[in-house]
Amino acid sequence: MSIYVENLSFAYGDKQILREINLNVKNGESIRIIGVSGCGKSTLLKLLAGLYKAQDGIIEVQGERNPEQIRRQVSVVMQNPMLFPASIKDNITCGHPMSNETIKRACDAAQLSDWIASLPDGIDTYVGERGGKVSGGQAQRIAIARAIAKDAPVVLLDEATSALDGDTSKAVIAALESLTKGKTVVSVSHRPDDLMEYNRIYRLEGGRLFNA
Amino acid sequence: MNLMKKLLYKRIRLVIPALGICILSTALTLCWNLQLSAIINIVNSNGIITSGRIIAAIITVIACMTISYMLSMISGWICETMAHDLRMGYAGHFTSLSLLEIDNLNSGEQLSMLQNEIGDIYAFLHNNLFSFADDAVKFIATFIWMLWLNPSLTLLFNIPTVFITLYTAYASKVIGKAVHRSQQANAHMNGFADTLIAVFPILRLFDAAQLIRAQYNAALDQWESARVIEENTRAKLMSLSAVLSCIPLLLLTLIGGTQTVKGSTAIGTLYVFINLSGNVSGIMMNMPGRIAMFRKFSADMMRIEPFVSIQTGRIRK
Repeated sequence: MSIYVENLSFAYGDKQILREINLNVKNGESIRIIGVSGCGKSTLLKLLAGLYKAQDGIIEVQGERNPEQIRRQVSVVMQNPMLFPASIKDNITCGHPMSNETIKRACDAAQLSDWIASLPDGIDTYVGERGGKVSGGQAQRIAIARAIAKDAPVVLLDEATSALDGDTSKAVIAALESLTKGKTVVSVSHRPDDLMEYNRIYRLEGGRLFNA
Repeated sequence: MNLMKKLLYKRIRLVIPALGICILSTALTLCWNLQLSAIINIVNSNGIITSGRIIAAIITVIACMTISYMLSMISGWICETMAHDLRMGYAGHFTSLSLLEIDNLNSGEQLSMLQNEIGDIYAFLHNNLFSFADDAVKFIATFIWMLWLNPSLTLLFNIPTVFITLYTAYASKVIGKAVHRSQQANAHMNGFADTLIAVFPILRLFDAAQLIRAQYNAALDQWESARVIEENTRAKLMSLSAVLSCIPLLLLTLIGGTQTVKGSTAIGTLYVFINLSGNVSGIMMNMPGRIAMFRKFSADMMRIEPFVSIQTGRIRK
């Protein structure tokens, strides 16, 4: 089992967000969780990513229960790409030693190579504070390249396709398909429709998970 | 400087009396020096100082002190009020923004603006706004008075001041550039710290602490080196300026002393010249520094202007 969640509950102070969530996702399976804004989708994703510790219940990702170990097993792509104020290369490698071949493969898969080749400083181009020197679509693809380069077995997508416009959506979808190929995928979104295909779809309502 | 005009206009009922007090203060200072010059000349010629002259001098000194106190009070009050208007205008601007606009704000940049630009504007308003007006009045009145007392001595001891002023202008320009670079490095570092908070989840997920630490240290080093260059430049140029600034006083002592020995200038007049030389040469030499400060103040005001909403209607206080 790639992701195993048993009786997971979580609250912010007195406000109960998630109640007795149970979820099993096999290796290579992709699932989608939909729900209205504020229903707890992002909180569930952060718990699965190892950013938060479960208050009640069990979260196991690739056999790991320790949040620090879980974080090594997952890659996350968010709606807001959150780039570091550094070069494209540093945003992809995150400062870890990585071969040029791996970086190039990640850029190719994320549909970034042509754009990077057109830049005077190439992959060493500074993306600015909060990615201010690149467009939204380019920032999203840099974030996807970062996730591809990490090569984690589990991919978590937080509204990753929600803010795409016509011109950039094709490139981002192609990049996401490269990222999720052969991986376990959990995608959360407030929109019922999606540009990608999933094995199962769940609905999060009142802190509980239902089959949609 | 539209913002400055708005701030001054809002408090015009306080600003005009303060300027009047500046003029009165200078007139009283000159009057006191005139009396002092006469007393010294009488003592020098072994004459007798009448009790009327002493009482007049004491009244002038008391009036000088009172006016000086009033000027200090009213200028401090106006500056505090204007700084308060500015802060309220800054806060007022944010309360009028939509949620989307607030979401898109770079809080690091705004905090940096609040700590740096508004802090600097406050310091300028508090320390310099009325001293600018006071200096201008003092300079004009004293220079005219000195020319009337002894034109040759006035012009001779002020000739080097023109060259020293040019040097100070050059020094201020060089220092201004170094300050600008240092401010940019500081803003970059603050922006970086703000971004770190925003990207914190990604930083943990991708274990990028090492990379970010290196980047932050690089920004810190950049700021440190810019600050060192700034201080170094300031120390070199300003120390020379301090030495040069002694020349007018030395010339005044030399030329004025010779004229006194020869009997063409009274000792009381020389004393008054020495006493008031700061009002002319001192102000002229400080002018480039003041102009540089004013330029910085003006740049700060222009930077915050889009973020300040000042109501233009005058307020009774």
